[in-house]
Amino acid sequence: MLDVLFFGGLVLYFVSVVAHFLALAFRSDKIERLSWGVFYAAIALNGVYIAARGVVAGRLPLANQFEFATAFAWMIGLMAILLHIRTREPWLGALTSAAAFLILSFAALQPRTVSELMPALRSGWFAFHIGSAVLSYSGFMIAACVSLRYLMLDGREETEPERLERLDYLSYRMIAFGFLMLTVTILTGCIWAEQAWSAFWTWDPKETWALITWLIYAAYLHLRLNRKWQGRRTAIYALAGIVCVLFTFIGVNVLFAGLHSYK
Amino acid sequence: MKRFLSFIRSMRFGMLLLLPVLVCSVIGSVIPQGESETLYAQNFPGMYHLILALGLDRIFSGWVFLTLTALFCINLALCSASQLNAVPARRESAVEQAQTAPIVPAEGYRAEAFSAYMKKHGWRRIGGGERRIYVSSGLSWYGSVVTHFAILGVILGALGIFGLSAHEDYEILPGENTIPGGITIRLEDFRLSDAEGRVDYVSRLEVIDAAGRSSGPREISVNHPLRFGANKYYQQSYGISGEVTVTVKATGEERPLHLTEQSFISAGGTDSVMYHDVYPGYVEDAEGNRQAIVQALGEYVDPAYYIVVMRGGGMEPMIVLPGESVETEDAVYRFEAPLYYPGIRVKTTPVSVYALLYLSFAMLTAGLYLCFFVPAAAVAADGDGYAIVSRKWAEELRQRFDLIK
Repeated sequence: MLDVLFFGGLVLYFVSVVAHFLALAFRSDKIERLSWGVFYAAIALNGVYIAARGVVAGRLPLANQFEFATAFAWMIGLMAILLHIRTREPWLGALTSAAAFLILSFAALQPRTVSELMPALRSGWFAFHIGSAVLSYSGFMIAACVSLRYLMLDGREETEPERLERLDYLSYRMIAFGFLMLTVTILTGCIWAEQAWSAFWTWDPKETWALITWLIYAAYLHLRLNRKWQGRRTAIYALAGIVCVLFTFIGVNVLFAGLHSYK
Repeated sequence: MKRFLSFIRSMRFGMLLLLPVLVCSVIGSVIPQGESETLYAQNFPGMYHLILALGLDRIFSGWVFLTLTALFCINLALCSASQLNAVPARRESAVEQAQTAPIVPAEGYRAEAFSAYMKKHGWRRIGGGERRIYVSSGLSWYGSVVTHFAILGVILGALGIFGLSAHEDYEILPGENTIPGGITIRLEDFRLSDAEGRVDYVSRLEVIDAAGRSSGPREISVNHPLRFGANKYYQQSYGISGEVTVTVKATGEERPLHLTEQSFISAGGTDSVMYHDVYPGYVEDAEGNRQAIVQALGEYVDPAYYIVVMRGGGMEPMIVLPGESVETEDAVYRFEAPLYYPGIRVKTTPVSVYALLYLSFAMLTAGLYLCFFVPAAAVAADGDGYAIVSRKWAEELRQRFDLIK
């Protein structure tokens, strides 16, 4: 039953991506409404799956790569809805649903067995640490989607400058949100590590890459706010940033062994 | 000198420092840190000499990284101090600009609704008259300063841990164990499961310090260390100890032994027993020959001792089960059920370092929240519309004000 919910959500995300692109290709409002309907349904199914898995496991379903990726895809979906309500910007549905679909596809490649929490993960910090990481990664992903849309519009004669400004600003706000959440992730992780492993920081690859990601986005915020970097440059930066986020999330677990290798 | 100081405290210098910090971090994540030379020779055969010579195996405690960190601290401290000085002036300047900023008429704008909104959201009104000036709460202007000081605090706290914190790991066996500093750890019990039967590592122990003060019986487990006196006691690992009782035939004396590593046991004569290890299980063929199962997950279900008995000038490897005995000319070696014992880490960190770190963590979160979620701005409004003076918040506030009905 759980698998039906999971793959049902995955298929709906895929249908939504296809429908979004068809709506753009045929410039059809009807298909666009349909694509958003399917996207909402996918997000709902994704959410129901997470809740059901949590009930079956008897804990918060954020304990391994599969569960994290499932929550990550769901959060991208939820943030995409907020973004849609706020901006009504075409293409963002296509980009965010594609991001959610790809992340959930990655989840589908991971083992889905429901397992007991290992002793190190049984802590009150678990929810704050992983929950804030989900919010942070999703914020950065949405910022990257918005930046991609910016780059698609930039340079076109018919694009109004206000529209570009709005997208640029939105991307910055999402990065600011993601940055705050990443800070919470790192700090709660430090406190938790001190309780579980006796050290606030061990230069474990996951920790190191979380710090690298943090420094990269800290540089973005400084360049934007103090050096007046805006527009195309920050959009490209946001896209480079998400590569770093995805490496921290996926690459580190694949390439390096460490304390965070919860497969 | 002035130009040099100005460069040292500049954002440009901070950014320049971040680059090598990033490079060091990447190198430190690719090359495993603090491992033995053999591991580097195996994993990086072509360049392990270089890795060891350049100290890339301990990059985060090497002089390059520490120098970068020290320079970054200086940059942060100077930058934060200058920002702290600049905040009141920045706020005043924003208010001054708001006095003369051109008011932009807004669609659907109503002066009364705007005033009510500003009052409700804690904006302070300055002066009276037709042109109303609002300024956001005092704290909002300090977000960046708080954040920078907090980062400085985190780095100093980390350096404090690096220089002032120490830890040592001890294998703790049932009964009293004395560790340096005159501390006694009395282990009452160690289990591999918690009260609900889930896998966990739980030690029930009592710590008595050099002055005789006792922690009382306490349970420690992963995520639940014990703080007592200046130390923190962590459930760090566990091991399995071979339990052997040796009876010396000549005297009848019985001596129980806890064997946590390879040991040579002898009652003083020519015969002896070499204890190798306890294995999780064994298999037995039709002729009664036993073979050890070397690896298994979880608790040992069928533990078996691997020993070598040396008697009469010969050597005989054997698999012995708990409850069985081996006899030599001068002693009887009775093997009991093996015992699980905890590895306890004892860590000493000055309370001031903890306080600095936790305070900095809280300040960092609060500072970033102020930076990005509490507007720092001055706003002018009259009967037709409003004007926003802010370095970061103009767009966001415009969107918010547009929603005022």
